[in-house]
Amino acid sequence: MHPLNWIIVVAYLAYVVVDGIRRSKGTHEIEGYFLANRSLPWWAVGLSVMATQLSAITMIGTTGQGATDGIRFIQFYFGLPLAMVILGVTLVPFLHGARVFTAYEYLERRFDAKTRSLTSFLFLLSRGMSAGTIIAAPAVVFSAVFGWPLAWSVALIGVPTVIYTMIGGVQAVTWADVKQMVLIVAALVAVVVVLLVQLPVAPGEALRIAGATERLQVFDFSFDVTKTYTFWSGVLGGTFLMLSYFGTDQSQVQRYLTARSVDEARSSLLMSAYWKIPLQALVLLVGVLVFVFYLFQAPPLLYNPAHERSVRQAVPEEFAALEARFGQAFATRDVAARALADTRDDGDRTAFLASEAEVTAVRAEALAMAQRVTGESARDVNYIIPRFVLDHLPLGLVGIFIAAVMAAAMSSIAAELNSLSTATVIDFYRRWVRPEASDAHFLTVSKVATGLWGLFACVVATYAATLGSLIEVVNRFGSFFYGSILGVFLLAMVPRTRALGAFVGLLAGMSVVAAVTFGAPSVSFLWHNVIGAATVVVVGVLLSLGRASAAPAR
Amino acid sequence: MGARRSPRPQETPLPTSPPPPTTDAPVPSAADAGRFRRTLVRVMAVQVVTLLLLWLLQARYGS
Repeated sequence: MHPLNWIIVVAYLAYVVVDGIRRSKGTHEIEGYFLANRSLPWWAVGLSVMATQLSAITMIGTTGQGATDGIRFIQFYFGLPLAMVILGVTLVPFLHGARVFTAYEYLERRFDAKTRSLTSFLFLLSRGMSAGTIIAAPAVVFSAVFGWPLAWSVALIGVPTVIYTMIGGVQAVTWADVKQMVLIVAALVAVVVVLLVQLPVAPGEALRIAGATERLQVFDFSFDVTKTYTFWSGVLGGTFLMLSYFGTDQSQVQRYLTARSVDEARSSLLMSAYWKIPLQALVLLVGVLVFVFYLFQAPPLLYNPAHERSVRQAVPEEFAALEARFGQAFATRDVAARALADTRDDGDRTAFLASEAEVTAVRAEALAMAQRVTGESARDVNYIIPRFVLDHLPLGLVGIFIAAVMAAAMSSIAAELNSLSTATVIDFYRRWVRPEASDAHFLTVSKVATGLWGLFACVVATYAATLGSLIEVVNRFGSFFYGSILGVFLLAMVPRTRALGAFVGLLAGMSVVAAVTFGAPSVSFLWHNVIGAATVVVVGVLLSLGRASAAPAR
Repeated sequence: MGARRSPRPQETPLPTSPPPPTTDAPVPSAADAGRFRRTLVRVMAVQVVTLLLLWLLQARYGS
């Protein structure tokens, strides 16, 4: 990469750390450290909410998914606006009004200490692991693209994030998120502009070619619970997932607990309700346009440069023969794509699809070869956009895009470290270990906890390296717990439900989700949220009613 | 920022005496209900427009 691009990346990292340290001034107590004394404006909180959700996995994995699978993934977010409105009138006033540090504190007031501790523990378990995955996504790609050891890549992203989160607390996290969100959107828009300028066909023709390969097929109305992305799984399963994520996941709850008032907290969530789907469409569109770009510009046979080097070294003749076949298939597809752009003839469309199938077939052989040689998963969806950025973006914009990927990773990781530290200190340390300690003591412990969670996330990141599509891994992992945790909060709003019902319901919810995850019937992971929440509520209500009716008999 | 001394959280951190069950539910007022309806209509209107645009994209350029 050109030195100017490196200067941009290093300047960005230095700025984030220095700004984070600057924000630490005036933070002398844990309410300031964890909640910014509930003083932040709605727009900053709203951008922080969006930045937390938009990770490097979105920048690398989702754009790659757009290139290979099109924009159908957007259905995943169809439940988000409704979820935000529901949260605005239910959990947000509850949690903000209760003046709690963590969402789980509220469960103790409503039920009992063990329900609070169990849900908080589940949060620590799922988010602790996912923080590692979020670092791993860009670290693995940087490692392969730049030829660095994985530990260096993990450290490059993890160390600055841990420093500014540890020192600056939620003030540093939120204000860094605001700037990072601006950088991310600017980088995405710039890439779309560059792509439109560099494409040899008009934007309308580019979209028509993408449409011929079904990459612009947004809606799938089939009601098939084994399919991951359908309209119904997005609207129903997605609503439950978003309710769980934004309503009960401390990494998000903590964002809007920093808002000045309940109304500002609600407004911050509504920013996502309005902008999340258009933003996600932009992310996926980048991927679709990169796919069209590579119809006219020879793509690499293998997008993962580390695998490409290994295969070329291990089986040079076999790989050269495959490259020659790939070159011919690409040339045929190039001609067919141009013909399709010029005419709207069905014959041209058929010829283009046949040539596209041939390119895909040769790529599949190359991926199988890479898997055989390296012994690793050869899936290279997460490498498509980084390769495009490094090979084809103009000087300066490469550095901005790499900085934006880091920004996306850092904003999510910082929020998670901050919330993991909060749950550890408030729900466990202050609750069970040292309830009488001073604020200064808790502040020191909070900073140490942030550092330790950062270290844990970096260690996990080095082991999450060989996972497949990282965004799905994170979402699947979250869905294992999310629905059940949401169920407990829903149960809390049902009058006369009791602690025993909540605790047993939570265990029952997770058991049922485990059953459908590992056994029969096979159900796609978005539905796990609905199943988990429904099980907790049903079991919790039945147990509470049973005890209530049993009580007078005694 | 952060100079104000804030009180300790209102919960009582004693493991032996959990607070009695309560819903803590804020009582919704007519103004709250009206604001919710307006917000819901606005957000859903934007959602419908977004879905319509995506449907148009699919209808015009999809296979």
